This record gives sequence, structure tokens and C-alpha cells, in this order.
Amino acid sequence: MKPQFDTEQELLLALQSSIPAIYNAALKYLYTHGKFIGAVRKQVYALGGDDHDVKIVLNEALLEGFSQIQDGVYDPSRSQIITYIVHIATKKFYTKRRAEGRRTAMHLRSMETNEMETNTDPMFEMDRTERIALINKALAGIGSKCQELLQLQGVGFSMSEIAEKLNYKNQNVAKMAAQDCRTKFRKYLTERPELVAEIRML
Amino acid sequence: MNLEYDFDDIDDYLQDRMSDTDRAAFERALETNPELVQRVEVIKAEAKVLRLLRDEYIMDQFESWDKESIEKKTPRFFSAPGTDKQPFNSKKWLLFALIVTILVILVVVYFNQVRPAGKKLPAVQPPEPSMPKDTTKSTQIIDKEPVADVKGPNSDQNAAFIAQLTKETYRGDQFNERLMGDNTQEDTTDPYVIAVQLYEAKNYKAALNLLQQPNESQKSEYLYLRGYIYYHLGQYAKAEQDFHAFRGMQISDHKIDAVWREVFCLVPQLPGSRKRLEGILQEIMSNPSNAYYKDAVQLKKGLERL
Repeated sequence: MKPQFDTEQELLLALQSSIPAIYNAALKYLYTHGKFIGAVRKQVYALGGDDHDVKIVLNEALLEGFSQIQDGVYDPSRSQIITYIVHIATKKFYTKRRAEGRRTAMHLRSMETNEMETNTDPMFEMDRTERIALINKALAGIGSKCQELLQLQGVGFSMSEIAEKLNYKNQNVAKMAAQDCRTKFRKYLTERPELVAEIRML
Repeated sequence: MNLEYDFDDIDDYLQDRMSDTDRAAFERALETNPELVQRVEVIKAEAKVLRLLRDEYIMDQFESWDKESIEKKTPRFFSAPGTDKQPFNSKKWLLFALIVTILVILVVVYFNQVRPAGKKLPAVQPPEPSMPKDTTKSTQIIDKEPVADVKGPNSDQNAAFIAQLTKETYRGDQFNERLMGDNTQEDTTDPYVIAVQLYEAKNYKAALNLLQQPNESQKSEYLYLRGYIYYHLGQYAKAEQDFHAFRGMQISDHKIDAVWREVFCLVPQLPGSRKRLEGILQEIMSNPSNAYYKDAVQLKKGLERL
């Protein structure tokens, strides 16, 4: 069922929430919002993009908009949430197009081929694969249980939810396990300054 | 190893939870202690990894919502620009219903108030049953309205007058009793019984659907009820036809009632039905003991003023 939000304030509160079920409902509402998709599409089309670009830009913009709302960067007095995220999408696509233009120009200068056609955005796929590889690398030294725990913590699940999902006796046990995992993870990172630098650069 | 600041302190610094004095001291320590700088970087990296984990989780969610929309055959991205249509939600339906209602009211007002003379009279909306069940009592039909003001056969006053006649000639009926005196217990699977229930719930169209193919043994009951249903659906000619057919049935306790039901179906069809109506009224008036005699006389008088 599609989530519904009657007011901008309700939507904002949901996006500011740290509870996955609440922020997920808000994200799903935006992700399936016809007006929102239509607005992003209009901007992407105006800049020469296609439906595939719309999908990528929309995902990235929604993720970034969400992060900015969570970090308190978004100012509700200046624009509506949808307008704000559509603006992020436009900016992202414009930057992407400019970078692509530069890359193509360089490519044409160095190669004799003209165009490369693919169904997926290679840069986007590469970014994501790179990101996942780095996450896996960072979490490699802490064991699978700790990986799962940090993953759930990162998403924002509460200790009681984590206890339930990972079969800990109660939330206090889960909390202690989380502390141990964080200590382990910090130690692992401390011993690998090159990995820290890599994460910082991402 | 700097023991002065642990990871929690660094976290407080990064989350801006330190006092100004502590922050200044911490920043001084950062300038002189590369190990502390490294620890700060570790905490930042940890936070970034947790953020990346959350982002990946959200990206997975996006993918699952995409799959969901594909399963529902509602592609989100692959359509022409500007053609996104959101399904109507309850608010939009309410707005739509409100607009339609306003339009209907405007049309009705137009036909009742502004309609130029000479145009065909609009169909009169079926009134709600408001008369008592006892059909043997005569009712005052004509004297309730100042009919002297009626100007001509096509005037607006005529439309209003016909509407009033329609309302006052109407007689309701109780259908939970079998028409032919059959008092056996109702069979709840019997289409007629279900149709009666639907009729009483004012679900006329559904009731009508059940009465399209009458059972031969219940034909008269079907016709009688269907006549009422057509009447409430504003299909007066069909209603008239059913009541007329009903009174042609060989065995019926309600033949006299059916004549009046035919009358009240003819009234909203005025002025086109005038000849037929006058014929039936004449038939009723030919027998002074007819339960509808007085009603017929008064209606006849009213018709003369139209």
C-alpha cells in the first residue's frame, strides 16, 4: 500500500525520523509520487537526458535530499521538500552531464571511436560497485555477526529491534554487543590508515 | 597514545556536544597530537561507513519499490514527460463528486429557472416515498398549491407543478410481504427476496439486475417490484409498462393499486402522457367505489389547469 502524508510537516517529520519504518514510508511516498517523478523527468529531459537518467538521478537526489534533511541542512522555510529534492536532482544531472562532456571530449581526442552505447550508466554502476567494495573491505575484519549488527545500526534500527533480528537475549545484550563491535571496528580502522583515507575520499 | 581524549570525547567533538572551553582545548590538542588527529579520522570513517550502509539499504529499498511497481504494471520511469498520473485518492474523488454535484444543480436550476419557453420539459426526478401505505384514503392533490398562477403548458410553473403532482400521486409499498398473500417464510436465496432487500436499501440498479428474468410463478411480484424500481430510476415509461402488465395478470389482489401506480408513472411523463393519463383517470372515475376515485377526480382537475 502506498503511504500517504497529508501535510508537508508530516512528511518532513517522517524524513527526519531515525526509525527505518517511518523514514522508509516517507521515502516510498516520494519515490512513488507522480508529481515528483514528473518534475525530475522534466528537468532531466530539458537537459537532454532520458528515462534511464531520470531513474539514476532520482535515486541519487532522493538519497542526498534525505541525508541533508537528516543532517539538518534542509531549511523548510525556503522551499518545499519536493522542490528541494528536484533542485538537487537537476544540479546532479547538470554536473554529471558536464563531467560526461569532458570525458567524451577527452575520449574523442585519444580514441577514434565516436560513441559507446550501454543500457546502464557505467559511472553510476562503477560508483556503486566501488562503494559496496569499500564497505565490504572496511567491515572485513570484524566478523559476520558484527557486520550485520553495524549494518542494522547504520540503517537506524533500535537496540530492541536489533536484539530481535539477531537473536540477542534482550536489548541490553544487543547494546553491549554493539559497543564491542564498534570498538573492534575502530581498532581495525586505526590499524589501517590507508583504508581510512580511502573512505574519506569516497 | 593520547589518554586525555577517548573515542566518546571525539564523538562529542564531532557531534558538537562540547562546551566552548572543551572544544578549544580539544582543537589545541589536535594541533599538537597527530595520534589524536588519526583517531578523529577513524571516528569520521566509521560514521561514513555507517552512512554508506544506510544508503545501500535505501538503494535496495528503491529497487524493491521498482520491482513492486513493475509487478503492479505501473512503470514509474518509462513514459512520456508530463504524463504521470496519480491514481485518484479519496480527496480527489470527493472533489470530483462535488464538481459533478454542482454541475447537476446548475443544470437543474437552469432548466427550472432560465429554460426558455417552448423547450421540452425535463424529466422530473423521482420523489422519495412519503405517503402512507394505506392507499384507500384520498389525499388532497390539487388544493395544496396555488395552481391559479399557472400560465401555460410550457411555463416553468408547469414544470414545478408537474413535479409536485408527481410527488403527491406517488404511493409507496411494502415489499417484505408477498403480494399474492403468500405468508410462508422468506427464502433468503430467492432472487425476489434479495431484490426486495436491495430495493429497501435503495440499491435500485442491483435490485433491477435480479429481476430481469422473472420466474413464471412469481411473474406478477417481479413486475410489481420492477415497476417501482424503474420508477425510482426515473424510467417512468418502463415502470408504467410493468404496472400495466401487472394489472393484466389473471390472479392479483393488487390490480386496483396497480392502476394508480400506472397513474403515478404517467404524471412525470406529462405533457406527452396526458392522453393516456386522462384515459386511466376516466377509467377510475367511472367507478365511484374505486379506492382512488377522489384522487383521480382531483388529479383530473389539476390537469385541466395545466
